[in-house]
Amino acid sequence: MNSVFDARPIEILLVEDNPGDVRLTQEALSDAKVRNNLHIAGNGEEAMDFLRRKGKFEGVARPDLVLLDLNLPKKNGMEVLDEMKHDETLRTIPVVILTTSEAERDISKAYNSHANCYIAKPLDLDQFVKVIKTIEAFWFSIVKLPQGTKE
Amino acid sequence: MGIRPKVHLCVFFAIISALCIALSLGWILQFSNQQMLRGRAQDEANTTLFQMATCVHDYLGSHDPKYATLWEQKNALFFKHISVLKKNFPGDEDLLVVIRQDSIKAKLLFAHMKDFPGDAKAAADLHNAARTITANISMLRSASDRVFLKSLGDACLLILAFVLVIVCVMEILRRMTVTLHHLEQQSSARRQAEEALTVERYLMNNLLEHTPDHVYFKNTKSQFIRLSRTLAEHFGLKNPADAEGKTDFDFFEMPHSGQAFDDEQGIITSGEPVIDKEEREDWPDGHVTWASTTKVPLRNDLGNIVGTFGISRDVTDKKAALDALQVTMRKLEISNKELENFAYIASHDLQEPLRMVSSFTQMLKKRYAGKLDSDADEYIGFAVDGAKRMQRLLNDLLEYSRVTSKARPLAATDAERVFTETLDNLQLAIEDAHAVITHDPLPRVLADEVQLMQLFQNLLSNALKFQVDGVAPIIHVGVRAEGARWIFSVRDNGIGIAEEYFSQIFLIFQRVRTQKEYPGTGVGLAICSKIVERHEGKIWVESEPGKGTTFYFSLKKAPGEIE
Repeated sequence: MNSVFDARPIEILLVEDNPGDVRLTQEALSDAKVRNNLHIAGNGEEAMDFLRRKGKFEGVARPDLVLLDLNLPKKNGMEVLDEMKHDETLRTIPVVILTTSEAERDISKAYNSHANCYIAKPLDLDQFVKVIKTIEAFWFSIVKLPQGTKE
Repeated sequence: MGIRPKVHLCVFFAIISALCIALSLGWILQFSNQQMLRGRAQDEANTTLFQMATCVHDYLGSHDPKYATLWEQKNALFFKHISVLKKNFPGDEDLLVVIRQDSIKAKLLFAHMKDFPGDAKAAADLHNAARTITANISMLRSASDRVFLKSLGDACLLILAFVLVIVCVMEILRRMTVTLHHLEQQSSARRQAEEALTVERYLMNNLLEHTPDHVYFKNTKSQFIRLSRTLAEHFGLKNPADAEGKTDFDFFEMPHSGQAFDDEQGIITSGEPVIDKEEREDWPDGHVTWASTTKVPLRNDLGNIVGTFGISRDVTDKKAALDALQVTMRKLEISNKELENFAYIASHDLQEPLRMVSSFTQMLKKRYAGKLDSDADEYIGFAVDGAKRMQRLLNDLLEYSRVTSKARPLAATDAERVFTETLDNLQLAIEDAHAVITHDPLPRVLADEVQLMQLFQNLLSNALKFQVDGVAPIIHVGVRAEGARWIFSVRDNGIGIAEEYFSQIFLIFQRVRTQKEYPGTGVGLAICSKIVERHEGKIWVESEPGKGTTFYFSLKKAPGEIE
């Protein structure tokens, strides 16, 4: 286990406008092995504000992982991804696209914008929970992230 | 007249010539026969005279009276000959008289010698008389020969002259015949030309008077030379001749009149026709008609362009119908597209809220099963099942709509490879069912590879699924050529389908068996049907309940593989 995570909970930013999905994600992460703090942004603008700690998000923790939906009001997920990957301070944060779209166009566009991985939301609840747990296990137990990105 | 009278003439002249020649020959024959008779008479007279001379000689030697008697006999014979000669020699009568006189003299001398056998003078006279007679006979003979030769020569000359005359006459007649024939030919050609001209005239008149198309001839200035009645009527004229000398500018408005003029001048300059051009005709009262026009250069006998001629057909109604059809087609296309779009969007967008329903009913079941009353458990169970089923339906509907929305272009595809990949995908299901799957070597076809795989997969899945309990599926995929297509077959030993359901099974959401017996949405075969349809092929089924099912579908052969 990563010693960093033993020290503090993992910060996850979920950018999702569907409260049902927010709830499902919360449920799935509630009994996670790794301690975590799930932050929610309901639209793209809010997500960018959170990442840049603007306005009401002043002083929030820098996320270790962003779970990004593509279909978002105000600023869509693709724009958020683009801005993040063009921002030197944000580009090292892994972005997992978590969306219902299985369109080839969206998938290639996301990877072209340097998304770290692309996951289509499973229709089945059990599958969904399994995917969230797999994300958690993979990004926080298996993957080594650059220390420089942490604060 | 013609060739027949000429033959008659020839036959006539041939008969005349033959008659002439026959007459000439007859005359010559008769003449020579006469000469022969005369010659024979002369010969006999000669012989007789010789015998008479011999008698005289012998008599003079022996004075035997028997010679005198003999002489008498010969002399009588001689006179008979002389009378023959006389009859045939009217010209030599003088000589015959001399001969006769000598003969009488000899007769008298013989009589004298009978009485005075020793008279030497009489003997000498008799001798001389005999000699003179002989000489005169010779003369008579040569004279006769001369006459014969002269006559023969005359006859030949006559024949020659006659032949010459005949030849001349025949030549004159021949020339007359030739001239006559020539004259006759000339007049016949003139008559034929006149007839042809008459035919041309009525053909042209019929065309211009009765064709429903607009036909016109124009000079190099695009002025009408001739035009069909229908076109004149189109222009509002009673008589087509009224349009002669006028141009399109007198009847149409711009831009059509200008465009037509430019087209015609272009044809005159280039010699290139304008074919089947769709023209918008603008009329002075503002209304518009449409015509399909072909214009061609008008050439004279020397091949020089002296104007244009054209045929145009009014296609206003047709054009309107076609436009309407195109609008309808376009609408239909849009509506089809919208429908496909709708199916895609509906199935896609409905998934999202349904996922919520499904997830949270499952969550309910997970958290609260057994904690509420038994009714609640049952209700939650129905909700979870319904939501799951609806998800499957939407998923399949999405799949169905993707047959057209996610279609890739058809290309030469190795069906063998695609089939092998399909078997790999179905490996688990095949093993679970303990199925035996065999197949013919599969050919190359014109197909969308992904859809071909989907087609194989759906048909094989069906064959695996609709199986009698406890019986291992035996499936064979066959293929045979039929013209430019391959007919594939997927045969199983499953439960079979009654004939009354053969067409129904290919419709979307149509199911023959209950959900409980064989779960499914009833989209699989509809997708198959849509895929095959998109490949311009056919799909059909042959089956009998309890005896297995064979699905057939046809696909085009890959380009270059058609014999």
